[in-house]
Amino acid sequence: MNGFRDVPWIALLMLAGVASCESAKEPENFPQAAADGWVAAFNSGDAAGLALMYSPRAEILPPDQPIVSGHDAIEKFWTTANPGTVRVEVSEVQTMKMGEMWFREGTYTAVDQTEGEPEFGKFIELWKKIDSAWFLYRQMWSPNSPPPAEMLANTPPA
Amino acid sequence: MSRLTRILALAVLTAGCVQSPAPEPFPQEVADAWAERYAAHDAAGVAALYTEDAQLLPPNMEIINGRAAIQEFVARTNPPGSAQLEMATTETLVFGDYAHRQGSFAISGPDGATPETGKFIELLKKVDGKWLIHRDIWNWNAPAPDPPAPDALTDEPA
Repeated sequence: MNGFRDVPWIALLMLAGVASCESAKEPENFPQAAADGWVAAFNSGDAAGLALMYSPRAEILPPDQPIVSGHDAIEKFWTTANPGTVRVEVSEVQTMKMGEMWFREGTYTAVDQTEGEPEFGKFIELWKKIDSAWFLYRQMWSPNSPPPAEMLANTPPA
Repeated sequence: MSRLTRILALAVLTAGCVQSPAPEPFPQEVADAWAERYAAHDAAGVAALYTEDAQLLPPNMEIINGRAAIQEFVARTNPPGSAQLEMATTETLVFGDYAHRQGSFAISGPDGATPETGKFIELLKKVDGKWLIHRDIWNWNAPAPDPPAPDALTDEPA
């Protein structure tokens, strides 16, 4: 009957084990603050701030341009794409947890204050957690209609 | 601690947190089937590789929702005799019941001219034990060439 002496120890160990497992399995919410931060940085024309929101191996896959890889190239891309005149809003957003990543999709409306018509489109993103912070790993989008002919004529060669 | 306690403690600590199973390999058979069926202009066969509520996110078009609409889109955009599509996978990731595939593609012109190139991302989902494509987004690496001017068409010799 000596085993009964150890019952409190067993109970404690079981509690500790359950507690540690529960914390490991705790569902994690989509990092909305990071996503909101991206929109805020974009709408303020802060290309350097935007670039910091991407993981070191991030890639963006923009329409009508080759893939853009890495912080420096991403900062340069956003500096050109939004010199501070474009405002974007996202809507119809859905998120899916995929292992250690989050998949996010939605639609966007982009308005360039120097142009008349807003651009409507859709996007997908993959978010990755690195050292407890969330970063964009992949980002891809396209407009819902072809760009006007005059914009194509002004598009610089990639 | 008694021997009983030690055994129980060990059981709690080792079995309490069951490790996640090793990730499955990427379902390459879906990618292979897609390429084969697309090359055979088998729109129904291609559509069967998507989830019922799958979405295509094509460039310069609205989102296409659902398997039936995907079949109609593939039938319309890939009729017999249309240009050859070549695809290459650059990254695959598997997260439980979701998988990610990124790649590039090239479409040869009808006369074998320089192909138009682009990139894509697919999100695959396991439904009832079967891997299917759930989201499919792609876009081009360069703007589409301007359509020929009406004058150029009328100036061509008969």
